[in-house]
Amino acid sequence: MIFEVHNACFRYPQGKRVLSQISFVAKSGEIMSILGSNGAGKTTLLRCMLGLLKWERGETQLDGVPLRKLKYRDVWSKIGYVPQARLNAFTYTALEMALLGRSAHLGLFELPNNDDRQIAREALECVGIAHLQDKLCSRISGGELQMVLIARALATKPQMLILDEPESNLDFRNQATVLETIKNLKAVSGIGSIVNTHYPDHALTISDTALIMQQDGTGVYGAARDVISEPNLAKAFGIDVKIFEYQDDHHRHTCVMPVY
Amino acid sequence: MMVTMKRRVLLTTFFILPLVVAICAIGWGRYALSVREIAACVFPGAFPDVEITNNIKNIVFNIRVPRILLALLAGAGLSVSGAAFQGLFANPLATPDTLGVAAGASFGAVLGILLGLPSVGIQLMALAGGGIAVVIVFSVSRIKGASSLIMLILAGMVVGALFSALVSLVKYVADPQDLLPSITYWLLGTMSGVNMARLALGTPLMIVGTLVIFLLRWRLNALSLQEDEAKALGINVKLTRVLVICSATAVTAAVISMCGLIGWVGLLIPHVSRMIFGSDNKYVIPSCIGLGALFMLIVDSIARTAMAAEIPVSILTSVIGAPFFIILLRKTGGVSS
Repeated sequence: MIFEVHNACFRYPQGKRVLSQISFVAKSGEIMSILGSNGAGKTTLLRCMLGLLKWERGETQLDGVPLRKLKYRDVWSKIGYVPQARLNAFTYTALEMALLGRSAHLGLFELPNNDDRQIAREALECVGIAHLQDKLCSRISGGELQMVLIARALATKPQMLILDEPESNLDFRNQATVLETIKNLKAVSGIGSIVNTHYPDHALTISDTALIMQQDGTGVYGAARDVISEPNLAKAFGIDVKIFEYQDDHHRHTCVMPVY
Repeated sequence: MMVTMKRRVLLTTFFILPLVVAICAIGWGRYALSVREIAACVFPGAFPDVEITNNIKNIVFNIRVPRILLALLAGAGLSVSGAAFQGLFANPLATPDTLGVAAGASFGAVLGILLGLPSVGIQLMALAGGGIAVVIVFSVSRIKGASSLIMLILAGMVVGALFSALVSLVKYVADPQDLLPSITYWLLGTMSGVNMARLALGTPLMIVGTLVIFLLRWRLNALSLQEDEAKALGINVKLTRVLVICSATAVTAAVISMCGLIGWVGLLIPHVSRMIFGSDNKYVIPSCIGLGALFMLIVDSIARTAMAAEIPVSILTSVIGAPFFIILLRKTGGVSS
């Protein structure tokens, strides 16, 4: 699947322009990161490109077809959305939550059947939390809740995941788990991801391409290794940034550090 | 798998119990009837040795059966619409009255009483009042073609307050000798004096509404998530919300038009159901239908048999419901959040 945004702009009613001339191409089998400071419009971009907000100009295309011409359920059975982990008024069990990922495949009055439950269970297994299936979402850790939400998106059987800051609010270990999961999904199942993140080093670790949101609402888009550079980051975040590399026995690690 | 089996058994019990109690309840009352007499009434000719007078027939078919049916319908309806609103607004404190339906229906009814309409007219006024209240709520909450949930709730509170004030106004101008008592009596909620005609007017609406919510029960889970999240699951949030609101409104207005205001059931029964089944509305909604019917039937049976004079049923729902709820909260360790 090819997910494209063309010359898209957005402004809130009576507000100044938040996003301007955004273009990028994300493919299934690739990981794209979206970086930017607080208030740079990352979440707005996510909502616009998914059709939850209307572009002022430009459009989103799915395999060359404008998003607005596609049926709701067709779009959402190809794309899995992973929101930031937060609790709801009613707490469902991990399995009940994952099962909701089947919604796009079921009619308005249809109930999930045993096959759907099996798919939801496999999704939980895929992210390594099958043992939590009967636990309430309020009784598991933040990292585990994030994995439940990824499992829910996977239960849709999507070709691409869109994740909104999936590793924010998590500790080192859980951050690594989430990033590993995103990488594995690409390597094993060929599922691509678009990831909103606050961490340039995470973007460098997992992504093929990157979009860096600038203060003026435009974006710098290109191969991750090229665009995630000291000058681009400094401009986007308004602070000097140094990028270090560190080689251990197996991998090359990159560390991005703000300098102040 | 064990869990699923257990849930099915429980749900089946919740559906059979109200029916069993209902049959027994035909015999309860000032004029007690034996099981054989009830059976002989229901299956004429099957028990030739039991003598059935016209008086007994009259009690069974014109007084007790309609009243028992009403209790079952009212309990099931109010519980289901309460659960539906709670899921829709993602708020465990929502009630069937959150959108001002009850206040609107009450105003319609008391206005009908004030105008001296016959009981069918009062009932139609109640239905219209409930409907009008929700239409106003919808139009008030719409800003630039879209209505957010918080705007809906606020508009519901405002419209509810307005109609409550109008109800007070009607009470103020009503003749305290004969009109005011009947208005007060109606507002307290009562199942006495119900006949098949009144049931026939409210039941279809109540059944259709309940059926739609029952069919949408699994969707209520997704609706209780954040709006973007629900949309991203591939759900037509707008359509589903409108369907749920219209159905729950129809159910509430229909029930109120048949038996007046009965509070608390719409809050109590959904919570009890969640304590038993968890939050999954796939089980909560059917549980509400069964348990709501059972609870209301028991409360109304007590209301009509405990004392020589009838106890208003809405007083009893609270008197019985509150302690029952507290015991449940204590036993299950409270509502988890």
